[in-house]
Amino acid sequence: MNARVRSIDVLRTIALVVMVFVHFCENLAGYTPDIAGFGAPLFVFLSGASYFLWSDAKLARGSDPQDVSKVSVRRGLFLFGAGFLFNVFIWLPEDVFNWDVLTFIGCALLVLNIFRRASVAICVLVSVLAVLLSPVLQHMAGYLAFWEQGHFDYDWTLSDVLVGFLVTGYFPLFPWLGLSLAGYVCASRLYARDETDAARTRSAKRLALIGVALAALSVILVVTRPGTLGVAASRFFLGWDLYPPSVEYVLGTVGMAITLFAIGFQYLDLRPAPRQLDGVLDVAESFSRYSLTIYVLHHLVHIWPLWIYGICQGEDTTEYWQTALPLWAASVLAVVFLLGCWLVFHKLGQRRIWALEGCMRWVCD
Amino acid sequence: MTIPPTHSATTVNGPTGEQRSVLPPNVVVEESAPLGADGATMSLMCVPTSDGDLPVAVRQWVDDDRSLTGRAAMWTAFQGAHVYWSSDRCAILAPKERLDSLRRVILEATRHERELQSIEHGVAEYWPMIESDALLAFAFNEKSIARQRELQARLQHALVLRARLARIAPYLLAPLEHPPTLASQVAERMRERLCTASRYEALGGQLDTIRDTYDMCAQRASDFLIARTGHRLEWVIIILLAAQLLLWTIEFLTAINL
Repeated sequence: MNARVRSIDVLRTIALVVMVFVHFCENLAGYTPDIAGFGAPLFVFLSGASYFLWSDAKLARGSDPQDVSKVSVRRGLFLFGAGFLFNVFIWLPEDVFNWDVLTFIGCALLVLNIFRRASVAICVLVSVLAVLLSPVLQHMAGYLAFWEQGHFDYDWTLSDVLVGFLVTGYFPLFPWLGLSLAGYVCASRLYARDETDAARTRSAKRLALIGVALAALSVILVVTRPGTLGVAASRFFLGWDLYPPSVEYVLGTVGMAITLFAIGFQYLDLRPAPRQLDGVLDVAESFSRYSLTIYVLHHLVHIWPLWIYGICQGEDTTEYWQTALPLWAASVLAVVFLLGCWLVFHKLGQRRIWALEGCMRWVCD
Repeated sequence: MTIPPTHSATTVNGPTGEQRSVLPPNVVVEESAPLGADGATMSLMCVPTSDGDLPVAVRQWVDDDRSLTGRAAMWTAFQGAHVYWSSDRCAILAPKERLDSLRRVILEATRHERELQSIEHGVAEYWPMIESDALLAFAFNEKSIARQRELQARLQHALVLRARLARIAPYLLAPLEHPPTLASQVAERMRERLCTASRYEALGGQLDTIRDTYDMCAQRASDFLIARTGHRLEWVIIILLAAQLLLWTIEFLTAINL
């Protein structure tokens, strides 16, 4: 296998492209594309898979497990801190505790570092519990009370901040931890060092089946929801919804992520990829290598102008939120941004630059 | 097995007797003389004779044994009786009244010799495996679980080999009969030539080493599996407690506005 895992590069690029399109269209034009809600779960799932590959490679190179733990904690805290900075500078200081993807991934790294020592069965148990407990927690916390017009609106109190972090924020620990752990477990099955290719192929097929089964279960739950009555309908099965992340939504997205991951492994990692895909893989590598930077950057380039223009017009910063541009213009901007990213990061190649990933390695490793 | 120097092929071929190229008269050849209840057989040639020589044709018949593969057959002469033996073929030349008892002795000796050889081959197969398995006698981990059945089978096989050796020990270590008979003396001579006592002792030591190694592996594996089950239960308890704590925390945080 290559030093870079091509399937992860490709899937992460897909997740980034989806997120960029959705965010540009939503935030600039007020239009939510149908693909909304598919990018972030894939991104979170792949963060768990990448953590397994990173820690496993470190241990295989003879690193002390304690050192791996220390670096994991440092990386987790770095991303957690970067997430706060991101919230302050992008969403402005009043939204510092909105618990976005970066703070979640940072926290998930700390949790994965603990479960790295546990068996697969335990990781699966925690992952399942994280998903199944979340509707209960959402109900107990009064999830909808924290959300106003589709946005997380919390009071600056310790209890609201903590509840937001655990359950009610944009990307709370529950149920998203389930996806990180699922990614970690799947990667540990497919990329186990001592396994033969035949055993890995069997694992990939098994995982693809599990993924399809989870996605099918999600579809069944969504379709049969109108017939569901009582507590099950009001508390557990809320239909396909990202805010709050319902059981159906999480099962569907985790099923999709597992299936894509298994298929990608089978066709891109286990065997040489077709030469016709060289160009695509090259693009995917450029995007994947700087995924965190692109995630931050794409917010920066479309949110800041919105704030600045609002201030320049003597209005509120959020005056042009979701109304700044028509849909076609927002879509064109998203394409231009992605092309620009590819040109810049392709040109930079493997050169060490002070992107978010480089900073993280410099500070933590 | 080799013929001791005093009974080398040249001595046998010595000029003392008449060398005949055809089998002597009254020869009885049993192609499949049964060695025991397991269906194993050997070819046996019984020649009733009082002549003190070992005919060339008889020697040739035994030497043609394919199982010899380069090794020389073993010759024993005692009180006018000749035994020319290989593990698959044996010629007995003795007065007629003694042939039957000698036949029984040869079949018994051959049965035990084959068993001993089989155990030796079994033990020889262990040494390359021990090299890799010895590591597991010290540390057993998650990845070693896949080899547990393999280790179990090896320990079981070693114990079976030990039991088979123990079963033939009374023959291999049998003291000399008193008063001695021709048959008992030939049996004793066979044991001596085949070095059964020292081979038994060596095999015992080797099997002890193998058994000890796999015994330690089994102990480590058992310890690991017990500890793993315990750890899993501990994790499950921790996770359930954490879940309960989480529910309590959410309940607490929503109840009081800190």
